[in-house]
Amino acid sequence: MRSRLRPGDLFGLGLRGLAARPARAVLTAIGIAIGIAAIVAVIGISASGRADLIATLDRLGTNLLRITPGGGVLGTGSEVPEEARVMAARIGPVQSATQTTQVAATVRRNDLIGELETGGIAVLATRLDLLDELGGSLQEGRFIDDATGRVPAVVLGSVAARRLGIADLDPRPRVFMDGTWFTVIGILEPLELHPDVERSVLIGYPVAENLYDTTESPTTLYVRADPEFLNDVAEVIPATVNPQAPDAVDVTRPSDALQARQAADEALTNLLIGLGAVALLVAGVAIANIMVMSVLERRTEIGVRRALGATKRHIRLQFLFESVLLSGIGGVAGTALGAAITVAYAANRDLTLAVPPEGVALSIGAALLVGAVAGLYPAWRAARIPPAEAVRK
Amino acid sequence: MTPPVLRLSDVSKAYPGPPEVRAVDGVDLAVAPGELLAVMGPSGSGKSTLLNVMGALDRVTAGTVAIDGVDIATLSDRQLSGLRSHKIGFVFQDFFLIEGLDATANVAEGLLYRGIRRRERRARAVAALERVGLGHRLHHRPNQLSGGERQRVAIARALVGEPSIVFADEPTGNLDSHTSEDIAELFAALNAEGTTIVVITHERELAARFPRIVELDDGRVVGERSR
Repeated sequence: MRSRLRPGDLFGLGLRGLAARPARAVLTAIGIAIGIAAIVAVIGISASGRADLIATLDRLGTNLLRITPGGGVLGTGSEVPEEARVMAARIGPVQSATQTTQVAATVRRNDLIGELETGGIAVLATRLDLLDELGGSLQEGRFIDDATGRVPAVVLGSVAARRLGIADLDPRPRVFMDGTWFTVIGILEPLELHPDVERSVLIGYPVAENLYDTTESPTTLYVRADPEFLNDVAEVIPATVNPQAPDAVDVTRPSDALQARQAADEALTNLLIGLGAVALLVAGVAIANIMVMSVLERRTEIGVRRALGATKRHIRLQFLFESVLLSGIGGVAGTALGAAITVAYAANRDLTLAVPPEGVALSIGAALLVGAVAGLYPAWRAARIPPAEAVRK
Repeated sequence: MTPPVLRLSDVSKAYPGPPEVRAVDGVDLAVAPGELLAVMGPSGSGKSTLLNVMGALDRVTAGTVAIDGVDIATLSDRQLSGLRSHKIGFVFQDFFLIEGLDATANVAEGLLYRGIRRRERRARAVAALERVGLGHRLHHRPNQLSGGERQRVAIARALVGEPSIVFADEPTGNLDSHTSEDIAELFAALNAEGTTIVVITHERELAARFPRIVELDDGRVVGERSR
């Protein structure tokens, strides 16, 4: 002779309890929904942003070192040996090395423009593999090759092209460089991690040597190495490329900037998730508050249920379940809202959409947990009401 | 002789003071299966307290209450709930129906804590409603029913589990005299079908309609009459 409540009936009781006061249920669930929506949206947006960032990092690689071996403390520095690149390439884990050298020339749209109006555009002599090494691509035309490197042909960085007012290769634009007309044979796409190259025009070493006496002493060296030994390579490179003044050599890793951005994104994401969690906590307190009120209002119902044979546990479960159901509804609504926000944001910003399922599961779980914790005290109070007192007139 | 459904032996219930109140004071009472009796007394005579201890809603301070031969003092709170769900039916003065539910669903709630499937609960609720003459009001909500009809729904809810005994606490307290008579007749009819019913009331007229009357005053049994 035991009291028994079927799980399905418990579900029905919870649902009915909420349906009896729909406006109150909706208002209370909104609190949870806002908290969850914030968390899901933050997770989704940051995951979408990160997906793009990771894709960029994957494409560009994180194992490229940029070495500027000139300089020196007072900017005078010593001449870097022409063999610097070859020396660097001989370091075990180095996979490839390329370079550019600053050319002592200015570039102008035509010969009528004043010599000093260079627009801050540098002229660089480049090796033929530079574009591949930097992970860049051409917007139009082609890069310097064996043939075009010997003649007055030039490839424009994206910013340099804009500053020179050259949007495309039609009709065969030319630029004027210290007395010689160069034919533009290519325009680069933006190079995310190499703003200095974007602001330069590139010509071949042979033509640079012929016209401007440029040597092969590198202004900038690019070295790609086995990621595992990247730090070791970075350590030995200064002495290798400029044995006379290793202290004057700067070694940087362009992808560090992206990784710093990623770290900053993560910190901001964590902060926003924290704010969402606070919202959730506040919503939990609101649920507890509403449930306590509900218990007070429903004393008679509780008494009648006890008289009909409900055990304390049944009463406790009824109110606990009602609370969990309330927060669960809020959680599901919030997740849908958060996902919608993420989709809209990703579409607007042209990001790769990524709503991590584990994040969604976790936030719904958090909502249910908040509901369960919030319902504990009201449920305990409901169960403690003596039946004889609750049915008193 | 058949053993009593309900036996109270020297039952007292005191509420701690100061001053301590002995709402029920040394009551002896036995109710045999199939009986219909009224416990009558003025307000403050301890009727409601007696109902609570008889119906296993509250525990006694002294004495024993046995339902179907089981001393309820030996039962845990959980077992008491089980006892209420299987053996006892309650009818309250204020009906205490659930507003959002129709008559059938309200009556079916009487079987909710028995672990019976919903479909069967509803079928039995319909049968119970037909027994109390509300076969034509199955899907009406409490606010669409008259006072007398609501009390019939409450009675059907008490009956639906076929309990050993039904307690009715001032069942006509909120009804006019004509409706009260109908309810009294319903109790008599249900009793004729074999249901054991204890009606608690302060109304002498209502009590007079029942075969046995136990008079209560100041927490004690002061008189007993049988017809």
